[in-house]
Amino acid sequence: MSKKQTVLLVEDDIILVEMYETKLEMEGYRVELAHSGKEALEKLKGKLVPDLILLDILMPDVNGFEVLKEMKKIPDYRSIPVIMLTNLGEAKIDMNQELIYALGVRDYLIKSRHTPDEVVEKIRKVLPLSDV
Amino acid sequence: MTRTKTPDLTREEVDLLIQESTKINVFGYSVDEILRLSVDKITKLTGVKKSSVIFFESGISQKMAVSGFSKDSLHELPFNSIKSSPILKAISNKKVMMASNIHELEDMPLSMKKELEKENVVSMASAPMIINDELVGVLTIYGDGKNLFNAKQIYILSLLASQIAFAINNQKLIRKIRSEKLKLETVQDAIEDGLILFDIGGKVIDYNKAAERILGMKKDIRGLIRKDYLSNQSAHFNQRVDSQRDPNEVFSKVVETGKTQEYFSSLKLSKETRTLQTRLSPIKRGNKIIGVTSNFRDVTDIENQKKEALLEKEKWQAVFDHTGDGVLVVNKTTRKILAANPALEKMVGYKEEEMLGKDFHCYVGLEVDSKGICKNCPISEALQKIEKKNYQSETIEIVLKRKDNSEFWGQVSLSVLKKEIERESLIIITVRDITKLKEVDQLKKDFTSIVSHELRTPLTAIKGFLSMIIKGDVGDLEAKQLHFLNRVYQSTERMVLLVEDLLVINRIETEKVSVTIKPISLNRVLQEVIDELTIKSLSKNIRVRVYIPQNFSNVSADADRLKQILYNLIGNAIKYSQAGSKVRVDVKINDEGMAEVSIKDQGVGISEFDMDKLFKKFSRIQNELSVKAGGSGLGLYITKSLVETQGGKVWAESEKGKGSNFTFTLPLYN
Repeated sequence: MSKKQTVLLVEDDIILVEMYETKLEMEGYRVELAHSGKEALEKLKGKLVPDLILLDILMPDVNGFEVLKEMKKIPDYRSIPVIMLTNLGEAKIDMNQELIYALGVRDYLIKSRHTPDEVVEKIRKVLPLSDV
Repeated sequence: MTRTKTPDLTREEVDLLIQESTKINVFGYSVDEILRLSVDKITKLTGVKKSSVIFFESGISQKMAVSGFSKDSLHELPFNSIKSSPILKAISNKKVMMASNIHELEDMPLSMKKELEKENVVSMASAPMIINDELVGVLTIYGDGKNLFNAKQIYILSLLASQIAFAINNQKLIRKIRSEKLKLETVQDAIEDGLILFDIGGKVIDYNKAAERILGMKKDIRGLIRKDYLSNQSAHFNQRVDSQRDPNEVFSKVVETGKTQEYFSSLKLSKETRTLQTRLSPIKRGNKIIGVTSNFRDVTDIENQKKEALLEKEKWQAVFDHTGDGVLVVNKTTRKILAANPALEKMVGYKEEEMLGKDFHCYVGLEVDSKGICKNCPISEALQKIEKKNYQSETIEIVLKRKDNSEFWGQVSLSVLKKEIERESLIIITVRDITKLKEVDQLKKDFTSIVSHELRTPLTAIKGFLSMIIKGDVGDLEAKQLHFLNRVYQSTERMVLLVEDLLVINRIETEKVSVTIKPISLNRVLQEVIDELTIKSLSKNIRVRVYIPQNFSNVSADADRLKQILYNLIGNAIKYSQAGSKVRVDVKINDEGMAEVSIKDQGVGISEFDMDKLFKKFSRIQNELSVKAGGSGLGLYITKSLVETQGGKVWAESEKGKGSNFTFTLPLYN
């Protein structure tokens, strides 16, 4: 029996949440939702340890970067791979690429450029299926 | 040997003796001259024709003079062995020695006796020349045996001998004094400092050349009183002395206390004003002060340099203290902090005193383990990069921590100084607080971001849900339904690309396009782009081939921008080509030493008419394929802007119906 991998989806737009949640569940992932950065941190501090985090950047209150910084402080969470999703700016961001990689960010996607299928492909690259 | 008794001399004889002997003691004669004179005088005074005088010079050499002998030089006679002669031995008792018959002298070498015999010498008398109790020579008279020497002659001999010694000694002393004087004068004239000798009343006794020069003396000032020439309107000097201390008072103090005093003054010469530093020192004899020396020098230039250096220092100190960026000066080897400016103090919350001499990592919030090593230190990595690639500086953005544990984003620039300063290798670390820049809230206010975000979000949903429907994720579709949905999807895709292009253009136009120039491998980027375009090229059965020399040099470019450029140009080539045709990419180095990339297609080509508008905004060429191809008409405009930002050029060659060749250049990385 293969264990389901958990993806924590951090996204505030409810329509997009529905879209990604549907696709992810279809593809066999267990999905945990957080509609804001604050909620995401609460869930993480509440002992949730996902296999991967899909992290939106622009959210009310705590934004994606801040979530990342906070996560960095918790040793257990430093190694969880993160894929950042955003519709802000361009793929090339003003941040030190090596640094965000060090923070666990494995990819940075502009949502409008990728279909949900493509997002799943990106997830698979980072998180190989753990089929026993 | 008994002491000779002073014989009775007549008045004339005494006068003559005095006269002749003083002639020897004339100032300025050399030793040789004295010796020659001596033998003449002894003959004159004693009547003895043959005489000799020998002077031992510093025990090594000897000087001689002879009179009355047939041979010119005594050297031919064995007199050079005189040192071991019995004459000398006897004389070393410092008395006159006489021998009435030389043949009776036991220690005289036979050869010498024979030589003397040839000269008809039978008797001899020698008187020692003594200076300071030391025997320095011998004066000898030689008789032919007929008469023995009388007491007068002996007396004159011994007197003259001592006169000669005296004369020679005098002459030596004079020479010595002269040479010392000359040395002193030479030294005095050679030194750059002015020297003036005063008596205790302030009268000038003497001065040196430098004094003359520095003070611009027009006359000899010896005999003048110091007070007079220091006062205003002195005709001799045309100088004025402005001083914190009255030089006359200083002089008096020196005489009073016997202690050296220094002061500064300004000297006004005809053309300029100079600053002098003067030192007055007492000349003592025992405890008594007998005079004052004034030792002075022109320090105008030094003072000016000092002032300038101080100003420079103040200037740079001001920059250091007032710049808004935090600056840390760190020793490269020890990593210890040498200086921190106020801006940095403010940024990290530590005071400079706290940080001095300590490892800088702790003060910017970078963790150091028990061994004092900062693991995965971004700064160390950046420094390594600098050293490896032989740059001078590197800028990184990292999270730093303050004293109160709060964090901030810092843009950290590291500069390694090539030259050592006082044997220390330095790193200058500049920190700029860019937290504000990083604030996502800032982006919220950015129009471009707002627009792109607001447009993209619904597009994402439309595109996303559509793709799932089309894939059949939520049920089967009939052919027509599928077809229509595909049309919707294509249009959505167009909109997505349009938003992308608008975003890029907006950035280009508001100059927010950031370009990070690094050495990039063209080969690698080309491969990436062609891979990404695989679906498009395969679907039209178009083959894309790259022709690039092996180990082609890197170019200086921004990786993402370069990718965008190639994606656009190769994408266009595919777009505007017929199915089954070829697209060819050539890379070379052109005549100007730049990398040149040409993308050639066998597509529809561009008419002459359309060529002008090619790289302009929203220029769309109306042809059958362009309608099918889609696109916003912004691609080439963006491509041109991106190429030019990186220092290159782009142009196109084409003929309608025959295909196009788009070429761009970029600088090589060297």
